[in-house]
Amino acid sequence: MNITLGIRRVGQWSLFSVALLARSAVVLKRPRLLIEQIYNCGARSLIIVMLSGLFVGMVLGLQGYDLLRRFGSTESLGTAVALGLLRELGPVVTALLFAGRAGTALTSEIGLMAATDQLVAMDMMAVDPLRRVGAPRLWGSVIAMPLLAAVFAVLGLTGAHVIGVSLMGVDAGQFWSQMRASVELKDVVEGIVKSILFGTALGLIAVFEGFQSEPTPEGVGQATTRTVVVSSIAVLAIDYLVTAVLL
Amino acid sequence: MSGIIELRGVDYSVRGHAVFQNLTLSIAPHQVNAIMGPSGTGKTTLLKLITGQIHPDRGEVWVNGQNLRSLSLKALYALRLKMGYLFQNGALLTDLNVFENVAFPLREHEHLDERALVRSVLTTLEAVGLRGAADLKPSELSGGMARRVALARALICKPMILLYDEPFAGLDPIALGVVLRLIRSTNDELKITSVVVSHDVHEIEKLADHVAILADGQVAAQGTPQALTQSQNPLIKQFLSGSPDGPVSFHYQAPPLEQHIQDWMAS
Repeated sequence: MNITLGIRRVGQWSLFSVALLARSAVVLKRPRLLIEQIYNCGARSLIIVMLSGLFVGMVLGLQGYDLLRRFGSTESLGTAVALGLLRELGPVVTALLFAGRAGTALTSEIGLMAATDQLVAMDMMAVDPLRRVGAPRLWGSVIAMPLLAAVFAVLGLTGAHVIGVSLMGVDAGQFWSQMRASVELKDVVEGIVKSILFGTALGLIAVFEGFQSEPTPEGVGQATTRTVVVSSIAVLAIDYLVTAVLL
Repeated sequence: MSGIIELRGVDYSVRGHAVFQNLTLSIAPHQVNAIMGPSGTGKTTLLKLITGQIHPDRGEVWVNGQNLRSLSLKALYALRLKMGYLFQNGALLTDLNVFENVAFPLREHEHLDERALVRSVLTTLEAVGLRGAADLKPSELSGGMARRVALARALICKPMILLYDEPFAGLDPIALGVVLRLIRSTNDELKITSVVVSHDVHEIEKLADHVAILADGQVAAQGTPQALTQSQNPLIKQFLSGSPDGPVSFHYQAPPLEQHIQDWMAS
């Protein structure tokens, strides 16, 4: 029974996603709607992403230094931290934070709009809610995610630099030159591809759950929880698949 | 039949429970038409059928000469632009202020220059007496004010038909008087057709030109409010007098009490 329900839900989500993507032209015709959503998803998630990036980078600095010291190659700290942040931690941790910060906000906002008849009211005014409310939020998420992941990586490198160079005494020249020598364009591209895919998946999940939520307080609460759970699993699963393909 | 809205032999059921059975109703243009009936008789469902949010299981719904079931989404949207729908709570967009709520349909559908838009919005707000509230947020409005803003938002598209879902529920006497007068004056001055769904007998007596009372999934009686008050039909008498005794039972359908207790414990 649960399996059929699950399969049906995946089917509903797929159809919904196609319908939502088919209405995407609105973000080109009315860029203002898109910019509002990039601000909502992106700018408002900036503080949490920057703080997390800084701390993750500092932890990487400590752990990386301790590990590399055992092999006598602490000068590779920059490379290790940069590869970890660009390819994995940047996109993945940002996506998990994004699901908790922006995904829940999207779902509960749309769910409450449904609960207070605002979506039906739009439909009654001949305004398609999927086009007006759904599509800009999806594309806001698709665009904001890679930007946030980049900010995360930059702050992470800063954190690692503070710990590795200023605290542990790794040579600053070595830290940067090794990094520049070893990090290739494809590492950066891998991070960008992942974060765009995560942004797309998170947007599709959060908007779907919002539109599908029961128009009651419990319904909106459950939909918001589902957004976090489904998004987190989706991020980790997509991460594995993309890594397997790109490596 | 020559109604602007016509329901022909409509059956509609929700999860096996029949809401309408062979419902036939014709709504004449340029009048205030009231749809009344006890709670749960499907008054709001009727509005959903008229606006094409749902379709009947059997039968047809015609609005302005068009069969709703045969319309594409685009054609349905074109028709909805001629219909204003007022929700019980107003259903204003909570992230926009009053001005932007009223401007919303214009910004979505018409490409007016900003000056013409501002003039149109403020003039429409003036008509409902709320020009001074233009920069308030929906959360700062009382129930009556929210409904007047919703009316302004519906009027700005110059509809032919206005549908009101329980416009009097939860209003204080002053707000009630204002809303009653607005419905009447809007109907007469703009020559539109109003459909008011309500169970407030006294307000409808004062307001409506024509009343249809729903019961048991059909139109139980219809006519002018004066004609209905003279009716000897026991159901109409019970409804208009608000008596708990009559054909409409106080009790929701249930098995005898002792049997119910046993069944409940057994489950």
